[in-house]
Amino acid sequence: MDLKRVANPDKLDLCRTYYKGGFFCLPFLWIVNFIWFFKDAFIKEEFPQQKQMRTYIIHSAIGSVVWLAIIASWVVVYQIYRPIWQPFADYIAFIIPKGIP
Amino acid sequence: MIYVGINYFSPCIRRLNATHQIGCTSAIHGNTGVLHYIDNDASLNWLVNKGPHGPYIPLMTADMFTFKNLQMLQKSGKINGIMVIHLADQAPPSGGFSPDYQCPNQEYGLYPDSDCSQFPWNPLGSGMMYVDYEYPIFAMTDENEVRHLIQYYYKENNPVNDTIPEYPLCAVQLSDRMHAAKDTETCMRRSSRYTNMEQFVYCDPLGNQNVFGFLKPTNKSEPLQNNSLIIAASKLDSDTLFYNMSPVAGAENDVTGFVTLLSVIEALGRLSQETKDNMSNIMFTFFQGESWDYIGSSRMVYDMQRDSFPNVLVEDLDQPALVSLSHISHFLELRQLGLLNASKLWVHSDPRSQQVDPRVGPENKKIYDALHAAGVQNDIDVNRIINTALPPASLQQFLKRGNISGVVVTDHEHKFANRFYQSRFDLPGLLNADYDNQTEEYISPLAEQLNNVSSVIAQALYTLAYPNGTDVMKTDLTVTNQLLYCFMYRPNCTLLRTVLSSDNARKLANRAYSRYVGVYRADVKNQNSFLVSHLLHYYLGEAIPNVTNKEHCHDLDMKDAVYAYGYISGVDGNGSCVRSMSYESPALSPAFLLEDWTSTEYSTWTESRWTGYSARAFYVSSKAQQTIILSIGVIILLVSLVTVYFIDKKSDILFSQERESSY
Repeated sequence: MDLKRVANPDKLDLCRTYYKGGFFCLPFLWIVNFIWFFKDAFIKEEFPQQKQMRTYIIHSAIGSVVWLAIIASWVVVYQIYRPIWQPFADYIAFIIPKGIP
Repeated sequence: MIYVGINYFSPCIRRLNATHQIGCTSAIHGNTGVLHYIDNDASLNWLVNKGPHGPYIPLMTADMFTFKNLQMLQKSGKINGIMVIHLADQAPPSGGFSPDYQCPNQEYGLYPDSDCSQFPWNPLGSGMMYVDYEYPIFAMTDENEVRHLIQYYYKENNPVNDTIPEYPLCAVQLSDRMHAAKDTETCMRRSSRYTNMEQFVYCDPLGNQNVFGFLKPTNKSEPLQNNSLIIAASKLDSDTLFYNMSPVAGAENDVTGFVTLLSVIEALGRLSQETKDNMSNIMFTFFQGESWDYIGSSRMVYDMQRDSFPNVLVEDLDQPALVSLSHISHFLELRQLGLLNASKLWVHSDPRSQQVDPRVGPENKKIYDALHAAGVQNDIDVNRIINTALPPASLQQFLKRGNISGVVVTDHEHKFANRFYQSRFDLPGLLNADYDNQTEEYISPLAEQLNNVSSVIAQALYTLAYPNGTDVMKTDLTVTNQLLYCFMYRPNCTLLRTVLSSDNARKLANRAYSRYVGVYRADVKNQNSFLVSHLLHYYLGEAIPNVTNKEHCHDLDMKDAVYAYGYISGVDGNGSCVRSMSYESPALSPAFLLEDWTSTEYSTWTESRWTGYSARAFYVSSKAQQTIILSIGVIILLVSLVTVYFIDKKSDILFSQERESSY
C-alpha cells in the first residue's frame, strides 16, 4: 500500500487501528504507527483529521518509549543477575551462553 | 603470510565438580599476547616489574613453570595465557613437580577430615591442577616450533640491556574456549534443558569401564559364601595438567601397578584346574577413573551394595553369582611399584577398621605374613606400616562401606617415591624402563624388579587362597617385560597382537595410548580398559576346542551369560575362541546415576566440551600505529560514502544520458 495515495480519513482509520492494536502488548505497532504517520500528523498542511491523528501519534510515541524502557531495563537486570538467579535464569532462557556461569 | 600456525601442543582444559570449575579456557576468539621467553628469574622479573607491552603470553621453560611463578605472573595482571615448553628429550625439573594435591583424592576418600599437612603423601604437590585459570595454558611439544618461537623472541622482543624492545613485536594467540562453566550441576542442567534451542551438551561425566575377572567360574545357583572371595586390585588411569599429553605420562603412577597385577594373573592363570579347584576364588579388578575421586571403585561398591554386581539377577537366566561386600575375605591392592628403594616393599593398612572390627587386624596380619614370606623367597624386603592412614587407594572406597581386611602395596613408606605424581614427567625413562629404540626382546631393569614384586604378590595370593598349597609361584619375566613394553612404549607388540582378534590387532598404535580416563560413553571402552580386558580374558580363559570361526564364538557369547567368549589371534595366529569369566562394569560415578550433581559422597567430575583449540604466532604493531591505520580506514570509508551520495544525487548532470522512464 502506498500511503501517498490513501485519503486522509482512511489514514486516520489506519492510524487508529494501529494505535488500538498496540494495547495488546504489541509496542511495535506503536513504533510503526509513529514512524508512518509522523509526517502527516506534524509536518503536512492541516487537514481535518490531523488533530485526532496527532493525539494517536503522541500516545503511540509515549507508549513505545515506556515499553522500550521496560524491555531495556529487564534486559539489563537479567544480564546482570543471570548468574545469580541460577537455575531460574536458565529455565526462562531459550539460548544459554557457553563458557560463562 | 600474517599468521604462522603452531600445531603441536597440549592444552589445559576445563573440568568441573560439585562446587568448582578447574583448568583453563580462552576468551571466545582466543587470547592474544606479546611473546616473552622466560628461562630464568631475570626474564621472569623483567616481565613482572617492567614489561610495558602487556598483555603478554610467556613461553616458559619447564623449570620455570612452577605454581609460585605462575601465581606471580597472574598477580602482575600482565599475562593473557602461558606456553610451557615440554620436549621429549628434556630433563624433568630437578626439584620434582606434581600438580596434584599433597593428599590426592582426600575429600572423597576414607579420611576427608584428617589434617593433610601432617602426613602429606605427595609433599611436592602444588595443587595447581585444581585451580581455575581464566586464560589458556598450552604445553608446546614440538622442538622445531619451540625453536622458532624462541628465535622470533630473540629477534624482536628481547629486551637487550634493559632497553624496551620496539614494535613490531612477535605475538601469539592461543585459543581453547570451554563451553561449560561454574560447576557440574550447572553444566549438566544446561545440557538437559529442553528449552535450550541449540540442544547443546556443555559437559560430560568422566568415566569408562572397570575391568574384572574371576580365577574360577561362579554361578548364581551357588551363591558365594561370606568371606570367601579375595580381591586383587589396581587402577588403570592417571592424568596430567595437560590434555592428550605426548609422550604419555603415568608410568609409575598407573602402569607399574596394573602391569604387576597382570603379570600375577598370568602366573595364577597357568595353574592347573585341579589346583584352582582347591583355592578360594580370586577376583582381579582394574579400576578406571580413580584419579578423579575414585570413580570406578566407588561405582563398584555402589553396585555391590545394591545386589547388582556383576549383574542384576534375572530369572530363568544362567548368571554369575552376585558379589557383595560381605563376600570379600581379603583385599590386596597394588599401587605405585616402580621405584623400590633397597628392594623394600611397603604394606599399608587402615588403622580405623582394625579398631572397629576385631577380625580385621588378624586378617590384615595374615596378608602381610603371606607377603613377607613370599618376599623372603624373592629377595624383596616386605615391610608393614601400622597406625598410619592408607595412601590414596581404591580400597578406601570399600572400607567406607564395610570393615574389610585389606592392604595396599606400594614402593613408598610415608610419602610417594614418585616425585612427578600426576605430572607430564612421570615417564618410563625415570623408572629404568627406556624402551625407546629397543627391540621387544630387550629386558629393562624395571621389568626385572617388577617381576620380583609380581612373584611376591602371586605367591602371597596363592598362599591366601590355598593355605595348604605347595606350588611355588614365579611370574614370567618375559611376560612382565612384554607388558611394560606394550603399555609404556608400543601397543603394537607381539603380546597384544596375540590376545586381540586379527581385526583389532591391526588397529594397534605404535605409540602408547593416553591413560586419561576420558568421558563416559555407555559400552565404549577406552584403549587401556580394552587392552587390559583382553589380556585378562586371555590369561584367565581357556580355549574352546572345535570352534574355529569368529561368528560361532560370537554366538556362544550371546547365548551364555556366565562366560565371556572372545575370538583371539592366538600365539600361532590361527585364531581360537577363548572363554573366561572376565567382564567390564561401568565406571561412571553413582552421582550421575542418581542425578545428584552436588554429591559430597561420590565423584562429580565432568569435562567441559569445546569446539577446538588452536595456536598461532604473528607480528603485532604498536597501539598508536594500529589506531592510525584504523582511523585512516574509517576516514576513507566516510569520504567515499559522501562522494557516492553526491554522485548519486547529481547523476543526471554527471551522466547526461537520456534516461528511459520505466516508472
